[in-house]
Amino acid sequence: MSLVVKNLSKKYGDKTVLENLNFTMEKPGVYALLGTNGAGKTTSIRMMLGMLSKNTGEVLWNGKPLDTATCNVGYLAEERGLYPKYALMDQLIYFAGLRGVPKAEAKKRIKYWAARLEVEEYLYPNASTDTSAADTAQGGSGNARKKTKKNKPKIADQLSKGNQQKIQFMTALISNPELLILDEPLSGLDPVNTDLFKNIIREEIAAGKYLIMSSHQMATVEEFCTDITILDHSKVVLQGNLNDIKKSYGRVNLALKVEQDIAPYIKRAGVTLITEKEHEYQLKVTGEAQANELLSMLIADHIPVITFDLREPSLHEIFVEKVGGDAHETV
Amino acid sequence: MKQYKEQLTGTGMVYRFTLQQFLKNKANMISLVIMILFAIGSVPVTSLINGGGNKEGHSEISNVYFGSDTEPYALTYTDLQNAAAADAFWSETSFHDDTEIELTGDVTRDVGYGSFTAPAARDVYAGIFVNPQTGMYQLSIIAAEDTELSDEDLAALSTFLMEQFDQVRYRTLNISDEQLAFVMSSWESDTQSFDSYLEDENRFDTQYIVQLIYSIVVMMVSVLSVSYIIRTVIEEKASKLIELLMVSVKPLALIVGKILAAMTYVLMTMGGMVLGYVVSRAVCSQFMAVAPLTDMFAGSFTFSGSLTNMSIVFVIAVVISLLLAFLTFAIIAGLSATGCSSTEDTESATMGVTLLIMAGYMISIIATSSGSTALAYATSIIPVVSVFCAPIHYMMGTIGIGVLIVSWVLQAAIVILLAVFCARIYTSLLMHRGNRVKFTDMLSMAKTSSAKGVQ
Repeated sequence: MSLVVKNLSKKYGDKTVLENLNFTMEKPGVYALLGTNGAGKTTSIRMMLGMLSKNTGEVLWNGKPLDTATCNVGYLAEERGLYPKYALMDQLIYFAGLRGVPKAEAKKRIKYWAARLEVEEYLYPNASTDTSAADTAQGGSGNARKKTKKNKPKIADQLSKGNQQKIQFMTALISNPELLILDEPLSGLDPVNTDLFKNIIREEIAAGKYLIMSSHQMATVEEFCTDITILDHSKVVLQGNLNDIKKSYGRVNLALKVEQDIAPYIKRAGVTLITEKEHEYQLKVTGEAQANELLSMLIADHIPVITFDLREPSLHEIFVEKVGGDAHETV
Repeated sequence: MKQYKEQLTGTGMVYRFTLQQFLKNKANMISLVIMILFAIGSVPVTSLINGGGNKEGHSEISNVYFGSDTEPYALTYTDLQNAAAADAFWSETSFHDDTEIELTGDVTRDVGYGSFTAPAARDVYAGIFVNPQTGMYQLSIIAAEDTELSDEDLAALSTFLMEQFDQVRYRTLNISDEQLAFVMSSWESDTQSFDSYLEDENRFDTQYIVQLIYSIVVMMVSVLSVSYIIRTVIEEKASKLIELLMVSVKPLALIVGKILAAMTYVLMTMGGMVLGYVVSRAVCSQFMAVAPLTDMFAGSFTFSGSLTNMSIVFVIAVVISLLLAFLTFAIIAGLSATGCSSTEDTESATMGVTLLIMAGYMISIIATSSGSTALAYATSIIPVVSVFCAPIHYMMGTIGIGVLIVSWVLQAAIVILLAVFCARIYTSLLMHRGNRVKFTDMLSMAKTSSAKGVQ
């Protein structure tokens, strides 16, 4: 299986909102679409899924135009939505049905995902009542049994934003998709639920799924993605394998921890100081030679070095460098 | 064909889900119950308002105490008893001589020449005497202050007593029954202008009533459908569900499923109302002056004697016109709603379509009341208005089957054009966010889409 995006472009009148997006996913994994707000990430996804018309280009899945009717796609849209007044179970069965999952199978999958995403109490509001009713039936009085009241099915309006997001994630996963597109999947989640989502994403990757992820959380992208595209003002400014990109920058980030002030040594070695806090230094070097020169100076003067960590730049740094002052909202 | 099939994949799911949610919606259920109760209540309420509270067939008067002072002609209570025995209407009423009135009971009123007891709630005192001042015969009927009898009951008694007294007068001339029937036969009068006479006023009145009823039905079906479609489309857009749905179902299937669900729900509502009316009529006919449904239909067929084309073709014509009306307004409603982004736009989206329906309704009524044949042809052909007018004009014989078919073809062409227009811009409209899209914007969207040829 493979996903090929070729020369994808979109214009609204004279305004270009996406210019020649090209990328390929030859094997399962996670592909990241990064960019500032309004760079064209969501537009690209919508065009790939056929929701927006293309001015030029094509999207191929296994060599054929990507059609959501034939390709099993799961999509968590940036604009989260559920029917506010309808029962959650009805909605999930409906969305599963639209993806071709029979009702009985949908119910099994809903049960599984409800347990995984810890939303059982909202989807099965009578589960605890049934248990207590059974207990009452065994040992309780008749009056107590009469008092057992069925809870009404929960509706989306009764859920917190985070729990609504879990239900929406379920709708993306319920058809067991081969291609999963996640637009800002972790935005608005607390740390516990972020881990919950991350674990599921890891499992999907391990299961050999193709994932496309758009996010502003660079640490998350770095954690999952093998290949990236950075968009800025509708144009691709950086693209490729994340490791290769990082290697191309070289190991230029030096984290140094010592027990005394080494400012004179840093100055003498010509290294750029980024931050300093209680003799913990974040430095920018031109390469390994400059870092080693600084280390040699410290050793020569018998200054104890606690930490010496020379690393490639983070994705955050690469992103900021590429899109410059536009990246105000990256995390 | 294959392309359309793909576009419509998932329509069934959308239809079932939308209908299920219509039926689960409390507000819808309350509206449905109110409408059915309205249909059930309309029969007894109408009957009571018209004074027909009693079961048709007999008078509600229990006792009539009758006396006369009309020598040499005298109508006695025994004459009345004999006449009443031959008329089922008076089967529950007893006629007595006024001397039987209790004079020693609770005296309630001094009438100058004595005092007597007031009649019971379902009894009356009646008398015929000569007015000494005018020399005319005078019939006097006295009911209780708190009488339970309707004006119709008392009027029927009045007519009965006068007829019986007239018969007594004629009998004194020793005329035969045949002669009596001749002199007693009643009158019907009809005053009209010469123009009205030429236009056949009765037929005209019939057309107006039938047109009014049919237009109200078309308007109800259309307005209800439009409101349901607009509400469900805007609800989906405002809930930001569109992207999620469009991964699984094509826009055409989304709107077709909703239109069909709204149609089913409206038909269920109308069906519920008709059923409520039929049951109410059947029940009320047992206790009130309400003709059973079978008699009503029999009456309709008598009434339809003036309707030229009242036949199965008319029923088919009504069904086709109703369907075309529904499709026309449903597609316009779908477009209008899809151009909105938030629930605040619901009112403005509904307003435009409702005004169009009201315009069709008003034009149909005005055209019929004008009586102009040229206007009848025009309103039968002009799309949108034709769904209100064409079947009625056909039924009345104003237009032929050819004109009726032409009106259907034109209306169907409008429906197809609207559907194509809708299919062309629906995806763009669904993805639109912001201010409500105006019709002119929709036209430019369609032009752009047509120029690119890509969706």
